[in-house]
Amino acid sequence: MTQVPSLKILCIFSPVCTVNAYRNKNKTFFITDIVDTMTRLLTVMVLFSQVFATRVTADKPGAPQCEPQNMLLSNVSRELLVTWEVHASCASLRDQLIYELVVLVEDKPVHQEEFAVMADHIGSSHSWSWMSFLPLECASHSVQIRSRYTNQTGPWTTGTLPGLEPSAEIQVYPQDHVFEVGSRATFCCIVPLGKTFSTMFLSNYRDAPSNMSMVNNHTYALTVDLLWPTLVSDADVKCKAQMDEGGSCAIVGYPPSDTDLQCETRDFQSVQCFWTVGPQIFSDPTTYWLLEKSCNGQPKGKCSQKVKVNNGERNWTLIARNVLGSIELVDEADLTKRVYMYAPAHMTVSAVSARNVTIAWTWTVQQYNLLNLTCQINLYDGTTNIQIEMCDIGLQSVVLNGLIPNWSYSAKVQCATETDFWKWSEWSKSISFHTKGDIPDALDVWMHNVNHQTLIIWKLLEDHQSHGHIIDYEVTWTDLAKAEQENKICVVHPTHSIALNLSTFQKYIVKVTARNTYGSSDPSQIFISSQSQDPEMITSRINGTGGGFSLSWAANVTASCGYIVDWYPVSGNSSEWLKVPPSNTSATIYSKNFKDGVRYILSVYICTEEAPVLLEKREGYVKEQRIPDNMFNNLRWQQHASDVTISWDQISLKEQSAHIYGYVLYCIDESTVLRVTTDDPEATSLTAAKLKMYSYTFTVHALTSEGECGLTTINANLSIQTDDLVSAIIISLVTAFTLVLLITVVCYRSWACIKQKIYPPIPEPVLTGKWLSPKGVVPYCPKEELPVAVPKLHSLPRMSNDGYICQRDQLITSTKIPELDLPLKKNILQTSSLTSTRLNIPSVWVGNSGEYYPV
Amino acid sequence: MAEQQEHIPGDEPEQAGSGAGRTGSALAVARLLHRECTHLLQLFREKESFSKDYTPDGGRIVSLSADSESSTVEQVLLLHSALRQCLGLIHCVIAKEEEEWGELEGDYESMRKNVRQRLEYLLHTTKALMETDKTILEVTPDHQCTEEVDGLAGVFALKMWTYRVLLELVHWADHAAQTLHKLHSETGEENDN
Repeated sequence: MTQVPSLKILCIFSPVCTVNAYRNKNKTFFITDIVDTMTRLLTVMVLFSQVFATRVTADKPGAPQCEPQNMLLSNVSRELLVTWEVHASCASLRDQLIYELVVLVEDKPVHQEEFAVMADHIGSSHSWSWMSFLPLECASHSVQIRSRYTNQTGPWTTGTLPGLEPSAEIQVYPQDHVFEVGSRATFCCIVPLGKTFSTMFLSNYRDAPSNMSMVNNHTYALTVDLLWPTLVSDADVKCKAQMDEGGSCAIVGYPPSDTDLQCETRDFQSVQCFWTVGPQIFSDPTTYWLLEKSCNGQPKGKCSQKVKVNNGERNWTLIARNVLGSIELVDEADLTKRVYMYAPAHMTVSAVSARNVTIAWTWTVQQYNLLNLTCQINLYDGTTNIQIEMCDIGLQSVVLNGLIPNWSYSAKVQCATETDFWKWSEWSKSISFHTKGDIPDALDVWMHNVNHQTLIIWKLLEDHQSHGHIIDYEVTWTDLAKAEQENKICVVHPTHSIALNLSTFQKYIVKVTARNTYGSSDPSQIFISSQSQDPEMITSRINGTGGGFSLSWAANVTASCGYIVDWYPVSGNSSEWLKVPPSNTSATIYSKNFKDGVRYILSVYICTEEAPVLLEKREGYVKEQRIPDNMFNNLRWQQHASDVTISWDQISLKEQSAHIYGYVLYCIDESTVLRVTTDDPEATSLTAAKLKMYSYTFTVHALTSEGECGLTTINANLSIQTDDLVSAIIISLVTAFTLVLLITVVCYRSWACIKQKIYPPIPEPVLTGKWLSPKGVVPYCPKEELPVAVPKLHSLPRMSNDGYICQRDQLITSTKIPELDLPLKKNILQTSSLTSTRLNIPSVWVGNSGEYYPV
Repeated sequence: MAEQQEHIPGDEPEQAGSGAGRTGSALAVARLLHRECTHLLQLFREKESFSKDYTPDGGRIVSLSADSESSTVEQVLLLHSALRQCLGLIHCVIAKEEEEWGELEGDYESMRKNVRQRLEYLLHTTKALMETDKTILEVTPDHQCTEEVDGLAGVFALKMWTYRVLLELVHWADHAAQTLHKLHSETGEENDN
């Protein structure tokens, strides 16, 4: 006995010894440092205590009658259960008895504990259990136990639960165990004899920290930190030894963690509880017990049990349990204040009239008749839901008023307790009904002046206003000056207007009624008077917003029945209108008939006891649109000298899809563009001045908020006008004639002088003979100069300053050749001889030989 | 996985025409079964992280003492018997797996159902092919689920057994294709003669 511990002590204090021992067996050593340390410490403590105890027992026997007897070790639900008995005489002890226990796995101490037995429990059998970190099948588990009483200890008694021996197949433990998320699990693999261990691992599981160790020659352990739940499939621990493979399945989950239990009653005969369901273990769902009765087969998170519900608070307890544990949820409540009513049943409708109906129902739970109830009636008229709330004890019917005649409705009801409101019941089944018919509502009547006629118009009644099928309308009008004379006409539905020829100088009252199968509506009347119109009123512009018009006006004290806003397109013959109460001085109008690019006239009338009075008039577009090209009709041009006027026809409002602020004219020739503008929207012409006599393209645009648009083009060739040309020619001719005449007169009167100057008399040769010429007369010459030279027969032509060439007294003209002008002059001056080919000068006959010589 | 629909020749085995036509239909069904069994095994391996190389111990679950000298018709009759046992095994696998994990609706479970139905169809086909006045063939599963499975210790053992069953199905579907091919060839030759 004493030798074995001493050997162990040597090994315990010498890790090298231990490691070497395994290495000698060619095995790998995997025990963790922590386990090593714990094992060594426990071994030291146990062995020292054993040595010491042995000595004490030997020297001074303690309480031998209390030593464990019939000690048994067993595996109960993976726990090591130790049971032992004590001698009956031990029951006489007065103080508590201590048992010291030491657990050894494969002969290595791994756990030590003291187990105290109180005096009143001494004498019977005892048990102690312990959860081993290693499955009990994997290794032998031994327990040493001894008693200690008042510092006297008994001898050690040892019991062993052997592990499983190797079999022909690989064995892995624990099998099919459920682990809690976050726990550390140890699996072992028992390898068949003769087989060599290969590997051991966890598959079908997310990465998990693991450590492998050898328990004994044929048993290996895998320790894994299970950090994740297995959700849809269990994890597998697989062990391989050469070609053999074995394994076990493991499920990882959470213990129940359900919350928020809340209970109520519907019928005072049962309780119904709800809670928030926590995570479930894969393949092992949590089971529930309410009031200690199973909730199996009931929907998830909901359970009800039969129980008589009385006044007063009590605990309603739900137990949630799975393989990893159980929790208890408690809801403390007085369920008489938590009544979740069943929906009203057997809905009926009675006393149906045109505008009233009675709806009734019954209760399936008798106790409801005694409760102060509040009920909501949801009334649906085909487009909207209206909710009406009623309260009463045991409420079972309601009367609905103000319904639309000849109208289909459906109604449903939900109720709840009024005093201790908990929650609304479900809605009852809907019940439908149809109200009885009635006379139509009064018509909305207005007037509109078209082509010197007064158009009386009214709005067609909608379904909820007609209260039955409309047959026709009756229009009566009376001249107020002749009140006794009433004119009447019937208009068949669906016509909803009639044109009346009313005198503009008279006042009339027009009344219109609608008729259906139940009778005629109250008459709607309108006064017609010339003061309703004011053609002189200035129309201001208005811009549309959001597909309609928003307009406001100054309040008027005479507006006893409010205002009427009326609008119509400039090109249309009908108008729409809106009646505004006296308190409002603004309105936003929309119409399905509104179109972009159409100009509307909007008028605000004061509604008075008599005829409506025009207050304001505006015009505008819901949205302006760009005016299309070629808007200008009959575009034409007119030239005045160098000015051109472009004209067009007046543009009608119908053609204007936007406000026109002015016009612009572009005069475009080959190289220049001239722009002429006007900001007069009424203009029908533009004039471009000082144009050249070229070919022009004239384009006219309208100026709008959308920019320059409505482009229309016309082309024109400008030229000097014929009248001017004729005038110019005549003036030139007259001037020239006058000038010639003047020169002629001057020349005539001064002819002698001129002759003397330019053609002095040629002295006659002094000859003798018969043929002597008569004596010449020498004219008077004021500036007479005596001839200084004898004229020669041949002389060079002389060119005047204007390009004419003079030959003796003859004026010789030539065709003017511009390009030859200067050279010709030069040649004339510089060249002594001229050729007729260059200058077409009439030849002068010299001599009579038939030959001539150009000079 | 997208559901696939394949055309199976001879959809009405009872109304099959000539011998060659009927054996051809049976052969086509056997080949399709083999393909589906192989796919089922692959899905199982993926689901349970079993290595493709791993072969469990235990040998054949379904074994028949086929005489190498027996005629092709006798071989087909033996095959029919083996397929009945295979049908019993797949029935058992489905029952045990649903008992353990409930009725799931994954690819594996879908293919498992396909294989069972295809196997039943092949049994009807071979019955129509081989049955005579003297030879009465059954098409019901020939396996008691309690025989082997109750002895299994743990879920992991059930998985291993399922793995063996699936390997068995692949083997016998392949064997069926080969045997029926042989029969088809012989029937064709007879018709030619």
